[in-house]
Amino acid sequence: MTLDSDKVLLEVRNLKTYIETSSGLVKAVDDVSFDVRKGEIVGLVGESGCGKTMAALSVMRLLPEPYGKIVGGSIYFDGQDLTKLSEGEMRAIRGSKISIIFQDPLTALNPIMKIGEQIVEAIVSHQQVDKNEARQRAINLLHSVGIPDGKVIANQYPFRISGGMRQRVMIAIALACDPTLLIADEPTTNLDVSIQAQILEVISDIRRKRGISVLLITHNLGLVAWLCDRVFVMYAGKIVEQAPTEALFTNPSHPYTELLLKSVPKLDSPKDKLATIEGEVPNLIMVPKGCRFHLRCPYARECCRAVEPDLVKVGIDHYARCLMQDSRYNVEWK
Amino acid sequence: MEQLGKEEVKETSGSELRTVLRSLRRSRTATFGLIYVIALVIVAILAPIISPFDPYAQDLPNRLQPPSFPHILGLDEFGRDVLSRLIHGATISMQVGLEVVLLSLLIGVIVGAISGYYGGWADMVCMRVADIFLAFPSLVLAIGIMAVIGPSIFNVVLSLVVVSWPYYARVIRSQTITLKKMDFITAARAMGASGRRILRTHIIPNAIPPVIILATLGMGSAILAEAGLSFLGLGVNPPTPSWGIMVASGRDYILQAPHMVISSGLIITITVLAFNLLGDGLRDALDPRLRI
Amino acid sequence: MLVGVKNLIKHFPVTKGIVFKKTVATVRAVDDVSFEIEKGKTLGLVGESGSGKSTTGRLILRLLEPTAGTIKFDGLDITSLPENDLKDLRRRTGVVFQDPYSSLDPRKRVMDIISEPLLITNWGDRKRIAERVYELLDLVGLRREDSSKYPHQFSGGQRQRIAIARALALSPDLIVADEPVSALDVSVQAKIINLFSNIQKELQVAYLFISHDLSVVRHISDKVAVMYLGKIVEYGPANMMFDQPLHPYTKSLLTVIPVPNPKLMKSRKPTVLRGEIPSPINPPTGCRFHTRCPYALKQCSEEEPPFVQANPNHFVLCLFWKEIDEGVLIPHI
Repeated sequence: MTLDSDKVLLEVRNLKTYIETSSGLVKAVDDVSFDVRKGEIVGLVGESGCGKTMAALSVMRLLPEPYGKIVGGSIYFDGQDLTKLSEGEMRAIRGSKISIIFQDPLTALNPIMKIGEQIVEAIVSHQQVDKNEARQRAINLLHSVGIPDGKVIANQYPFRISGGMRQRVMIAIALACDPTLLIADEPTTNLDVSIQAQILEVISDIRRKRGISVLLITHNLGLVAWLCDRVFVMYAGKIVEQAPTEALFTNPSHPYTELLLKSVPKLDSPKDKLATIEGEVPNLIMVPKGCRFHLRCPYARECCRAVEPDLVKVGIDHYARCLMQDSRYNVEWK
Repeated sequence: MEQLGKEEVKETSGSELRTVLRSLRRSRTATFGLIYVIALVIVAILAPIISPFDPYAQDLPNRLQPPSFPHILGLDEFGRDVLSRLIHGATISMQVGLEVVLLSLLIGVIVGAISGYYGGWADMVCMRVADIFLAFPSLVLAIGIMAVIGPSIFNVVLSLVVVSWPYYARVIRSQTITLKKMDFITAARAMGASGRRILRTHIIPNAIPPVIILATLGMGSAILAEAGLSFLGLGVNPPTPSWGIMVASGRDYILQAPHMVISSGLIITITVLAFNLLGDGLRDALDPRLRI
Repeated sequence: MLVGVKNLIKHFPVTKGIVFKKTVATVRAVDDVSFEIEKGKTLGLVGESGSGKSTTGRLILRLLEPTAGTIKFDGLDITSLPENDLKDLRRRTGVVFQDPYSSLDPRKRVMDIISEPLLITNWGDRKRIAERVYELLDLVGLRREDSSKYPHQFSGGQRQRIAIARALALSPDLIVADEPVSALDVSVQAKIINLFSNIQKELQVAYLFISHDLSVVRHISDKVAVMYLGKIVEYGPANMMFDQPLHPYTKSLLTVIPVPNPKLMKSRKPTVLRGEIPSPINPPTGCRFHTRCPYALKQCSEEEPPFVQANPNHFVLCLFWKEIDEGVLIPHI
């Protein structure tokens, strides 16, 4: 897949999003940088609690105010820093230039509004179109996400259609105003495998036919391998590895990535014991000093306890946040 | 077996009571409610000791005397000390309130849990009966019952229990139905637990917390209801110092001796308010913890 | 053979009306399935929504009563036994559910949760029960001190361990695990899967492992049954099924499972099934899969396929499995 140009569409730099909770300050996103180029599908992958959803919500400025706030960094999109925009300016971008689809379409869709009306609403809230044209566009949109009988579906309420259909509807709504970036937060987690395949096809088609870039947030490494051009791995609020997809899987350079890959049961390999990662994901209120992963890392040494590693280059476009990869630390590793 | 490294326990294993109290203290109104209720309970229990005068002792020559020393709240139409009567009235109110709530809760829990868990005909019958009671405005129904059986403390409690149990039954029933679908109930069935055991150890303990809020508010309602019934002459018998009776007799002398009506009316208002504030505070305190 | 299921059927009536109920439709959740579970071995039950896999699990545990067919547990026919006679079954089976947050009573301490099966069966006195609970906690990788805590103080993975400890309390012969790792994070899944394997090795417990995740099922199962709309469409040894799938449904699923191998994903030609999964209230006529089958012919909508033995121990529910396998019949896009 050749990229349209190496032009960067979204650039998140040193983003910090903190959330106040009754138990303390959660540093959900702690100095995170990633980018999405034109026509790319980028994966932001991590387990629950790593901060990936918060990162996505930060881009859309949809944080749970007043508890959640962007406290630092910048989000450059289309020449503007989204962190500096007013709510009104942000609203003009949400749903029109950048769209987001979520994991559970049932709660994301209005249960008492017909599908067609919801798509029309998405269209007219950003564009000056009359109702009839909007309705026609809605049906076309449904068609483009693989729903042939658009008129019938447009007349239904969300609860009447299946989960897979609802997700298609969500994508249709997301595409209503021709965004350049689609953020998909765990879009297929609740779907059956065979339906998931259909939705992934739709997302793939969107990129191919319309050149829309996709930021895919997921915990499923298989999805990443399937769809993504580049991957950012998150752990405890930080990016610990980033690379083009193939490089990440063939040459994982951070112990977390390596262990994660080894812990997934593989269809094609015999029944080995799965690798596991000691301990649990750290509490984002009290992050470990030094490297965030060191308490669970099989390779950890003294230096890991004291120093927080920087992202170090390990290959073309491939970086890992680990002292093992940092030539300045000449320690016996294995 | 593999060892699980160092894991943190999510919360300190403080008792639930401590967490609830901590949450209550954060709200000034809830704290007020809690302190007032506790104080009221103490007063109710210690009434004979802390009451400055005998609530029944009459002093006719000085009847309707306004507040002055040593009768801080004055005397009523028979020359009885108002403050002492209010204090003993607290005993009556608390007694009625507690009895009504506990009995209604008992009946409501049993009916609601069995109804919700077993379903079928029993459920239908019980719920229709409950609906019949719920269809009446409760105070009107209570008045009707009292008119038939005659005034006395026991009868007041009885009639209020009759009108209140359906509320608890309905709430417990819907909690039970929700809980029934949870996996831990299925797990209990899979290990051969009997229906009785499941109800006793799993369903009822989990269904009760939201009902505690209802019960707290219910106490306020019961106290108000008793006052209302007594005010109408259908509740407690004079000369028993119920707050409601005091408002009733105070009303006759509202121009000459307003201190009677004001003191008894005010104490009812503040008491019911306190229970409501406490109930609201409890709702907030228990709510996130109710995540099953 | 520990569990033998023959022609098992479970239909749920859909009723209308409050007082006088009328059946307006039937959910054909499990519609004639047959399989066996061997002592100490794992049968993986795979399927998507509406496949009937969870219902099958509950039928085996007699949490539901079958509409027809037979279930034999260690030789005893348990199909229609009244609850009172099922005590033995209850003692010899355990269950682990998907949701670690609703499968433990939030108001009970871990000690009470795990000891409940022991209490119900009057297994022993308090001291013995406590010792047994400590033993079980150790077995699943938790600590003695954890027995006095409440479920909300544990993570999802730890709660599943508690659930597993509870299932093992009476040293059962069979554990029915219904999507036990689906709600867990990837790295935690691995730990629980390993735990299941180790326990089986150590204690010789048989598993009915229900899951929608083919990779997990492949990893842990000796035999696999693939379910679709209440029927078993393919059944056989795990290796055979995954290396040489015969049923179009199985074949398709294997091509659309995301696998963390980019080269494979790019080179694989996925057979994406068209259309929605039909409802078990109104399953398609003839072969239930025909509406989505890339190979379907007219006959498939008219005739129900027989459950045929294609290879030793390998069964398939398809009229044209042979033609498909030999390449005579090709998929129509």
